[in-house]
Amino acid sequence: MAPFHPAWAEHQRKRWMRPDAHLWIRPDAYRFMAPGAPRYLGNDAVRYFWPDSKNNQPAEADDSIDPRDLAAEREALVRLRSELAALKAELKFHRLLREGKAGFRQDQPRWPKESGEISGRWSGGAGTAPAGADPKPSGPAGGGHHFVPREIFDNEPLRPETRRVFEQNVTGPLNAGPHRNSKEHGTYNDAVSEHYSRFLRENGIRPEDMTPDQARRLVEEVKRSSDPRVRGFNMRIYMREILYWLRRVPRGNE
Amino acid sequence: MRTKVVTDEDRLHAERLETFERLRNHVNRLMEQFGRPDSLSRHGDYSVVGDYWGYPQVKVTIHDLALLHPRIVKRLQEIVADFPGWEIVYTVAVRGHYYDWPDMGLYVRSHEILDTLQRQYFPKEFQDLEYEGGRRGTEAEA
Repeated sequence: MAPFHPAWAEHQRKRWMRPDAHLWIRPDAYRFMAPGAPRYLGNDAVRYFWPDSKNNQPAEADDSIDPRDLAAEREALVRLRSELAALKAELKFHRLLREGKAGFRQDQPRWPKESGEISGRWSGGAGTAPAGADPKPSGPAGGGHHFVPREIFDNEPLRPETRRVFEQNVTGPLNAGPHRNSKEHGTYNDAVSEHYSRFLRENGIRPEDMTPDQARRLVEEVKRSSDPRVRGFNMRIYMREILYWLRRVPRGNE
Repeated sequence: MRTKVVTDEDRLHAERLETFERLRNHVNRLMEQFGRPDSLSRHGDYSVVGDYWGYPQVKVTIHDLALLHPRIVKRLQEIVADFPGWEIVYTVAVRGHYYDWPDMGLYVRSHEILDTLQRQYFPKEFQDLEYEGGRRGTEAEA
């Protein structure tokens, strides 16, 4: 079979290829190609499928990995990681704010259609915790801020399973900044102790009788507290966390 | 199935967290000899913060000025000497003076004690406190 003239082949390819063909090709497609395959990004990605245009390849399409490309990719990765972490911290912060709204719970059931109630309205009562809910299973191993501080529940005569609830209710690892000689821990601990004493009194229980469910309710109360000593401290931690991750995002000129 | 990728940063965090726990235990054991810790149901003389914030520090909040005794601070410095790069933030937070006293305390490091105490707020018997290897400074220097 007679070979086609390259100009004709090129013309046919362009004729049948959408002008936005690159949108259907992953920009990192070179990762899936044979070792040494040229890399193209953005609109140039379609060149993979234009074997005749090899001669027009840009200088960057070298077989070896350019250290500058590698550095750029690493920087992009750091940027993405930082942005992701900042988003996660922001998400936690918004969750905290939302929980702070009186009794709001996103997963609270709603009345279904034809239930005899107005469908879509909350059912089950505001502020009720879902059965068996364990709000944050991250555990103490990762570190972070305990909503009921370790230093004050450590010395309390609690059941092991109740203690575990307090241990598990942490923000997760923090980079909120170094400690300074601020009194915020002291005021926070005092405020949580007051919540605790009130909770015991109102429910008529002793510390050693506190059940895990009651501990969860207490933690929720602390999280939703409108006491400025509690709310302010928790918010500052999240804000510091968000700022930390935003600061880590490399700028264009770095 | 999702698998968690363990990065060098995660490993470093885990190591530091483990060191934090060890140092915190040492500090707790020392402080128990000089006062009562805070708990949920009673106000004590001090508390050793249990949250690791990602920095090589252990923070102690003291509510009783008697815990500023140089002998206790010296013992803290001996403890932290075994943890290179770590420091103990020793914060004065006296109940009743949370809002009318400025932030102050000591940064106890193996090689120095940065002293940001503002003694003019203290009762007379605590105004002459001095620490061996202490350097007076401000919170901004920490």
